[in-house]
Amino acid sequence: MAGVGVTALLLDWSNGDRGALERLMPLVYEELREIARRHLSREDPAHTLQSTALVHEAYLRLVDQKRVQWQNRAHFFAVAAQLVRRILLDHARRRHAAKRGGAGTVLTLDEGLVAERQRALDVVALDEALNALAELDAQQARVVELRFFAGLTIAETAEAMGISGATVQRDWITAKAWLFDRLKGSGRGAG
Amino acid sequence: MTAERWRQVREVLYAAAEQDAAARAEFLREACDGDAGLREEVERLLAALDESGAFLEPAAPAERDLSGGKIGPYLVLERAGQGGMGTVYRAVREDDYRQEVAIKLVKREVETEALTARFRRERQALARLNHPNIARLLDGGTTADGRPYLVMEWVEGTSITEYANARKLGVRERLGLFLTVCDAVAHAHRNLVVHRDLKPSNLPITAAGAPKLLDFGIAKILAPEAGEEEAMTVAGGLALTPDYASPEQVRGEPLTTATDIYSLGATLYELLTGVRPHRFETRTPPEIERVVCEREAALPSAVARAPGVGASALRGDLDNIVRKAMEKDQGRRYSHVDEFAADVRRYLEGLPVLARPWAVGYRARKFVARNKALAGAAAAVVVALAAGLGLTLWEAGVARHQREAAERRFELARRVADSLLYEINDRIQDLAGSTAARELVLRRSLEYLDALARESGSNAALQRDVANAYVRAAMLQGAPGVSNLGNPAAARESLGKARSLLESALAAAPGSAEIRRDLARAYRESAQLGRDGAEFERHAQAALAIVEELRRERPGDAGVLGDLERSEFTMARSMAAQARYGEAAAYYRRALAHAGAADAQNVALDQKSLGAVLFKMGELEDALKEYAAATATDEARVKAEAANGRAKLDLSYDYADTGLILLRLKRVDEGVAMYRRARELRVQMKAADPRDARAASALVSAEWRLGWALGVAGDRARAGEAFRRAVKGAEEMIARLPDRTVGMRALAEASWNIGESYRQQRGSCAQAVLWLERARGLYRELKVPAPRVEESLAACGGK
Repeated sequence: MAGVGVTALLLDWSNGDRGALERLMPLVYEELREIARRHLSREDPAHTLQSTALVHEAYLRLVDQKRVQWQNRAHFFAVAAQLVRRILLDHARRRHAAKRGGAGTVLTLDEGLVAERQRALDVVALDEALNALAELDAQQARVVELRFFAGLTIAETAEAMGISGATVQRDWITAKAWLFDRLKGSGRGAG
Repeated sequence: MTAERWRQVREVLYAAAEQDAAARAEFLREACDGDAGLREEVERLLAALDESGAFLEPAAPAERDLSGGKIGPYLVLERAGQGGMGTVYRAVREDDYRQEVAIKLVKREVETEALTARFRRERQALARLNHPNIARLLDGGTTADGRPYLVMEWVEGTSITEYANARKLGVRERLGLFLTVCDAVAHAHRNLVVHRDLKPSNLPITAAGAPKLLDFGIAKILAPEAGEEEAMTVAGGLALTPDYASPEQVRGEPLTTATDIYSLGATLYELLTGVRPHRFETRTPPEIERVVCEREAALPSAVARAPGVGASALRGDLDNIVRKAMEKDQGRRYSHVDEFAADVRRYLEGLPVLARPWAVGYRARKFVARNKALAGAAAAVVVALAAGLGLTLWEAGVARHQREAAERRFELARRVADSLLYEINDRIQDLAGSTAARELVLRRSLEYLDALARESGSNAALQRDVANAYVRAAMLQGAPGVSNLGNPAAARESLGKARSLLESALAAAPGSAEIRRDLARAYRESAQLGRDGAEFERHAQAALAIVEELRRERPGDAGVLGDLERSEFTMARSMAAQARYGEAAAYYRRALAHAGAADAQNVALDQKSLGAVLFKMGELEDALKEYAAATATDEARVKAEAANGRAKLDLSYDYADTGLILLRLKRVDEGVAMYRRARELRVQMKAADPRDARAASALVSAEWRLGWALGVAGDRARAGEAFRRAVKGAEEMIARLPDRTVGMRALAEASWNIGESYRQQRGSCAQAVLWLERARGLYRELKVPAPRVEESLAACGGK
């Protein structure tokens, strides 16, 4: 894929060219999907790691490191966070659909392999909760997206969003409490 | 909630979260100012925040520098360092600014509950450590966000090695410092505290010129050894400094004072030479284990380059002393720190030291050990066979000239153990009520093996044989998928013995490909028995690392290639066991690429395992392709060897799983057809050997699966017939097979699925409950927990 093109678009966009973003998104999305297909996937709390690794790999493949600064990196990750969220959600939905398919929930593979059980972070439920949070405060939902789906630090998140680190910290801590509270009850249909 | 209300809640929540737990109530009262709803909301969210832990936290959370803040009653002055387990801060007590302390704040990921419990347990032992050269553990607690911390005396100083080198101290001065360290360690050992992580950086010399030992007992609190209460985490394992870690430590075995003696030896090595004993190519666990357990460090005099210390001063006695302290075999090290120190003192006083030149003593011991092994083995046979004659023979003395006779008897011992483990066990394992007898056989075999292992000295061939017998024993004790006695803990212990025997065999015969292959196999078996996904993965990784290295050395070796395929397969399963399906698929593909065409059974297994993983990822079309490939492979196997029951059984699984995928793809008719085929094969198998419990179980399972598929297709009449056949088959098993429980399990599973069919497919909870309760009764009788059955019942009861 055209590493040069992505880098140039990223620089243009960082310099205020809105149109560059339009052209950048599909390129990044394609790359992320390709990487995701290869790495897929586990729907567990370690998703964090996986989605973060995903974005890193895409960044290394698409962007010419010598030509960009850390601020550009934050911007790239900000774009990617949204896309990763979408990819993970699509994937989770497909899996849910497969689970609900014709055979009901009982029948399992007749394989003699070890059973696996892992407490899963429900990506679909998280997505719904994030949407609900966005209705209360869109900026706060975006902070979670950048921190969780792209693994940005507080400082990077602040740079990418053009707000102060203290605000990011406040948004993050309180969003975490709100989301945790909401998801904790989601199994029983609360919220 | 409105956006405006949320902003209000958020402000109070954030401010409250910044407060100490103690100050929160007061703060909330003021901030909420009578608004009970606000207060309730904030309190709930605060509770959620406290509970949330690592929820949503990015994988490597940037550790916030707490300088200027507070940890418990301490004011944090500065961040002093960052280690594997957490961060170290310099701090003072709020109410006493004079006493500086070091606070170890444990990383967020560390499992805090167990840690706090260990801390409480260890605390008393640590409190007894009152020694001028040991930094005291003062306090401990938990921060507001739930992270445990330890408070220690603050020590300002430079590490013993840096101190000595910077001042170009001579040998006698260096040894003087070292003796003070030994005294402190001896004091701790007398109080039953083992350090476990002795190294120069834990041995600073203060401005007063005295050593002060840091972190005594801390390693035990932070990283419990394997088997103590939980497996050492990967993080815990890596936290250890391999340069000074003993072989038993890198192998994750229980640690004693001998470990500290080794680490002291390694520290003395560096103190005298200026270099560390080992060089590691990479810092991966297998490499560390290999180097520490197998490679002998160069003699100190051969590498001397510490300023102020000449090679000639080290040659001889000091070489021998360091070597003795660093023996790989714990039994050959100094037995106490005092003994170690006494030898150093003898050297300083010009007296002969206990430690002997290594090579000569080693050879002599080796020679004795070899003969002892033969004699001991012979004795084992003699006792077991209760032959008075043999006893007399042995008492007459197995002298050197009788070595051949001893060797013959030893061979006999080996054969007895083999025969017990293989032939006798295999013959009796299908007999009714043979479990007790098999356990006895196993116990006897293990007694032999333990005796042989003890006496095996450094006889690599013997160690290898005994190790492989342990692996076999482990499979009988509790390997999954083999008829076994269901004791995985005992199996793990046997495998641990096998591994350590193979390690020492490898030390005696370095580079031996055969021993390494055996070791990889022992790791693979250990992997399958891993207590959790991480242990599964760690052992699988170790096996793979060994085999990959062998593969590089012998690219044309078909045996090694087969091992590679098996190791990759094991690795894949460890990934799947952790629901890391993407990685599992990648390893299965690698295994498939390395599977020889001749080994069709493994090829098929790789293909269907890959299919199963893809299925779990929701990639149904891809899964279908892999199952089609597995089906083709197994069909060819069945065709080639018509009498091979195993191939037929394998093929029936391919059909059944393909059937499930087709149902999920809404290709219901094709799915039903596949289940019919699976059933057909199993009918044939059962007819061929009506007493074969496995075939009978498989048929019962095929019947109810077919019933389910027919239910999806809406064919209630045929579904009902299939269910009835399943129940009848299971009831026959209970009546006719020697072991009733096999049939009971089959019946329980069938009943549950029939019940679920009534509930989900026909919407009849009244009928469903009858079957579900039958399943519950059977599981209770079997003493098998059945949460899924309870869930089904609850689902019915709720309506």
